[in-house]
Amino acid sequence: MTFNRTMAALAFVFAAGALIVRSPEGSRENDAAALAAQIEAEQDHIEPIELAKLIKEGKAKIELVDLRDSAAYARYHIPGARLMTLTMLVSGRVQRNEDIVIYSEGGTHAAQAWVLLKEKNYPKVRTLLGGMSGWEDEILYPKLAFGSDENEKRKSEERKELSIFFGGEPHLESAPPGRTIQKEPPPKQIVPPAKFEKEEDKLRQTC
Amino acid sequence: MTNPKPYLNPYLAGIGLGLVLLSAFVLMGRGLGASGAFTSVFTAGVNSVAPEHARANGLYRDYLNTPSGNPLKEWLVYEIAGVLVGGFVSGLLSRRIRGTVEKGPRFTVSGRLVYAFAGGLLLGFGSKVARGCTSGQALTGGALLSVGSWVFMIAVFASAYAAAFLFRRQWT
Amino acid sequence: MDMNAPLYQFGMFDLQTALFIAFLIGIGFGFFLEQAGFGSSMKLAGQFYFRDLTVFKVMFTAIITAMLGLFWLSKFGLVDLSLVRVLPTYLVPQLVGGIIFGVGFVMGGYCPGTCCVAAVTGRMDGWIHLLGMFAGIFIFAEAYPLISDWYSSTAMGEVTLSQLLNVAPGTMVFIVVVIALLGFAGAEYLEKIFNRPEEPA
Repeated sequence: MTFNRTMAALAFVFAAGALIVRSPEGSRENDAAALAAQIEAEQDHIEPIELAKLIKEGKAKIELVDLRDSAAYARYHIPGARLMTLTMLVSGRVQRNEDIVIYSEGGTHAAQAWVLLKEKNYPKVRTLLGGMSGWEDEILYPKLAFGSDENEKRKSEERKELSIFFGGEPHLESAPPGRTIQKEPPPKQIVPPAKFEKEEDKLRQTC
Repeated sequence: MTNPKPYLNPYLAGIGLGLVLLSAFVLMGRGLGASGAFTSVFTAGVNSVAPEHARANGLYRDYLNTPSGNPLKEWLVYEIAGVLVGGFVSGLLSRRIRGTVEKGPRFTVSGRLVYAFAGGLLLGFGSKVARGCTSGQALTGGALLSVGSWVFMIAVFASAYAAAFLFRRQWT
Repeated sequence: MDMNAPLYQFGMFDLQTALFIAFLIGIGFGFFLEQAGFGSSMKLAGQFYFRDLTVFKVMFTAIITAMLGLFWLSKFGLVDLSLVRVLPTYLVPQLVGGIIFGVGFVMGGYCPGTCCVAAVTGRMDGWIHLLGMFAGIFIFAEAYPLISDWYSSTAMGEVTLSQLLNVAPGTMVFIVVVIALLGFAGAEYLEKIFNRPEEPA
């Protein structure tokens, strides 16, 4: 056969193959057992403290996703987080190769999003343990004890700094007894440190 | 140069071009282009002569907005530099470099140059309106099955065939 | 299998390297354009008089080669297609732009990439065409503030033909390849009737 006809035949064969397989998505590597194992190994989430430190140090190249409604987001969101619906998230709003951390109010929607993204072969997805509730308890309004232990004092000092940095207010356990627990003040929305904003090193796509 | 080599089998050239395009996808996640490079070069020129005007204009501003701030440090500009080299090397190896003006037998050189300029003008304008040209929209967008790119490609062919009658004395 | 391509999107190399790769890819691009004979406006324009259908053959061969390549590389897990951005569709501007571009193409005899190849292989009309292109870009840029709304109208997002026609991507690939192959057969036939393709003078 001539070169032209050979190439035409090859093209047809590959095209016919495409017709048969219908989709260029690669084969699923994650089945239910593998996903369950990841959850049990606690690889599916990140703790609030760890996330808070990453954000504060400006080292994180994390794609932070907020799944709540826009009113909640406007009141307060974790600095650097992008608001989107569950549908938007699983339709590819975040690129597959990003390090994704998802949070919702408690954690249900985030956990559901985790499974859906994992089924689409997203390699790096985690939920925030406890969601926004957990963030409030651990970071914004931590209950801190400043006891005699040096270690404990240092840790509490650290947590206090984190709390103030993120616009919250730490509760010191050394409050006098009998004092009523006041209603928590709304947290101040802070802007994340400059380095946390991802560098626009990506080249634009012009034609 | 005398005794130029015959052109490459068009299907082989097409496969070569397709593989170059594919390598751009695989390496960079983007395709080819050309008109954007010229806009970048032109923007650099405007910026050096009238920077306030450049900053005030939405289009120039967009092309000034490269990661380094230098409009010439842009992927397409480097790509077009490569096109010049690659075209030259190919012409050299195939003995097809010739100082000439391409035109049909019934047309004058000056007429051809006027049409070359005017045609280039329409081409440049049209490529900006369409956000690309045959390399960026037709080849790249075509391979990606982007709707607008196919619309562009079909419009180009239809329009060129329709207008061919007007320019037959230039080419035939 | 691990998808680590497109390499740049996975951070495999930096901006400087990316620009160097642009240069290398450009060399390949320019090389094959000239090899196909697209440094000659006579040959390019011949497409529109049915004499020399090389433009159609080269363009569509390139399209189906890259299209099939992407499909199968993705299928075998070697490329992450979600990171290859489909060009956004702006229906009316692209239609109008295409019409203007088409007239300019048959008038000038070149497109932006090929006029570079022509200029660098000695064609004076290529150089003049280049100047004309800058003039066209200038006019657009100066008019941009007035037309920028229209320019961004009828946006349909990053929509593909398979999404629009509601068929599977593989089906769309098959259809395009079949159309291209039929087109090639038709082109060979037309060239036989009308004239033989341009050879270098």
